[in-house]
Amino acid sequence: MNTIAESIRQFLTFTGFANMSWQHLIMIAVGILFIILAVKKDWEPMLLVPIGFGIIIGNIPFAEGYQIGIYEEGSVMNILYQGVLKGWYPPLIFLGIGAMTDFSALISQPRLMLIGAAAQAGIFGAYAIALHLGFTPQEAGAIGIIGGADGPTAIFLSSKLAPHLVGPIAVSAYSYMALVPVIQRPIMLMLTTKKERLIRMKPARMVSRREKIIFPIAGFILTAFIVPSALPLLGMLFFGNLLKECGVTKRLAETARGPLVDVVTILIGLTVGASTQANVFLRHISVKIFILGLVSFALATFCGVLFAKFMNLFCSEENKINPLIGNAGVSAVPDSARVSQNVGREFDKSNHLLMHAMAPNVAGVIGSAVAAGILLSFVG
Amino acid sequence: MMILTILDNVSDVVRHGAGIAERDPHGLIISVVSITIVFLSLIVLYLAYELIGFIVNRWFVKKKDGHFLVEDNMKTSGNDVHDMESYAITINRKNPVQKTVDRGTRINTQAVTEDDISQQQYRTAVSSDGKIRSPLPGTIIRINVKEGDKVETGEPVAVLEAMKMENTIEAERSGTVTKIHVSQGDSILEGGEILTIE
Repeated sequence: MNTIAESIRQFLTFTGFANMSWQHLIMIAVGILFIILAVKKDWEPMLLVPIGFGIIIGNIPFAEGYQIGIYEEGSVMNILYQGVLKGWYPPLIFLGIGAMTDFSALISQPRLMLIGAAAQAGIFGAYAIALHLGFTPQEAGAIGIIGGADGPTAIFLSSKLAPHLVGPIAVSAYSYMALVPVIQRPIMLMLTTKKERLIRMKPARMVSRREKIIFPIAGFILTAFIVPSALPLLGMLFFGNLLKECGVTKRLAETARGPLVDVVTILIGLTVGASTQANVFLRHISVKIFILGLVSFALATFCGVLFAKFMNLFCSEENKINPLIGNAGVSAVPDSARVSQNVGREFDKSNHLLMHAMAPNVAGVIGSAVAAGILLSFVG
Repeated sequence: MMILTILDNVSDVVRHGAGIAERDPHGLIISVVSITIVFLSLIVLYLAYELIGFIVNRWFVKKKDGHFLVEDNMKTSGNDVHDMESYAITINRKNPVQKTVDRGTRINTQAVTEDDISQQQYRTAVSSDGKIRSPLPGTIIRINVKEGDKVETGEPVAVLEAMKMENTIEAERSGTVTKIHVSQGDSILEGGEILTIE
């Protein structure tokens, strides 16, 4: 009789209930909230569903020592998490982004690239603020990159600079990517006048196939020579694009932008979610990172829109830029371009800004990869 | 003075790589230098692209005055259009004869050089004739009307997906739908015809 009671008691110590704390419950609620937002509001379901369920997985309380948790070496989740921790998932995502993105908007209007550069100011603004708050330069760099609004780049950089912060940084980068419309719209409206929002941009010129093939090769060589430390990201991005544009590797391009990127997205979302294990994640530092990430992101949008207005000072009447594409300088592709399109159509139903916004948007991807490379060589 | 400090730091970084962060407690120098480098790289890319575009279009594209043609393979290449593809109207330079392009549109051309052929002109060429055209490159995911249906101005007739985003296409005038040129799931280029209202 005693033995039975003993074994039941022992079993109970292994259950989640015995190891539970209120932090776990909070995190599980957050995970469920993510899934609800994805299903009900359709906010970036491809990101929020894996991350949301990952959060639930990561916060089921367990007794340590049996290779279950994501932070226990050798556990399944830990092995999958290596891609985040060692930073090799992000370049694979970039390969897919390269293979799915059409750069012709950028090739036909290269001047719009500068908006993509201006928006990166958010990264460095947040870097300076983080330094003031007492973060080390390495941590500050990893936090600042959230403003690039580029999940893969944020993971890549933080895994190199501040591996202990990968979890909070990745979660906040991906959360803000999902919240792009909510954060950017008010800033865009605040900074633009009604007249500016109605600007119709000149349709882009056609881009020949030859240019599309030269772009990834020349673009890669130039940017990589300037910032070799961004090599993994830039290399994969432009390689993916070459696969797409050269016309003879259709199968490889389809795999890169389809199954490959899907697999990596699932793994990255799930493990990033699971890395939010309450005892590691619920700390003051995570809250600070979330706030700094928001500042960085808002600052990036701010700079992008302002810079588009600034460029307008030098543009002739017919070449005016609609500042509503300025927000697309952050690199959430194509989310922020979609925000430009939606906000633009609120004011003029027949004004389609989507393709114009794609130019700063893809420049933003290149820009934030370059910025990550620079931070890596400065503070790494 | 500031510039000198920055230049000094840049050369320092080039020579020694890291280690600069300790000497920059406010992050100011790193921020300024970094954003300059980001700008620099994209300006280099920008200039390179203006140059490459210029060279390619100047020397590798043979200019012919006269008729131009939206290539017959527009439809086939149209099928390749996916999520993030933008318009890809190519010009057949080998056989620049005026011809009916796919979707049955005759493009009325005057003497133009290929430099002049822009999306704008393409749109003007196929100007308002009761046809509803796609404002964006994308995929038709829903058609709300049938041939013979009566529609009012502003009535949603189709839904187009571009960049993973659904855009409602509305009727530009009232009338009867006489022909639907696309079916559900078709890829369509910017300016491609969706349906005709008479």
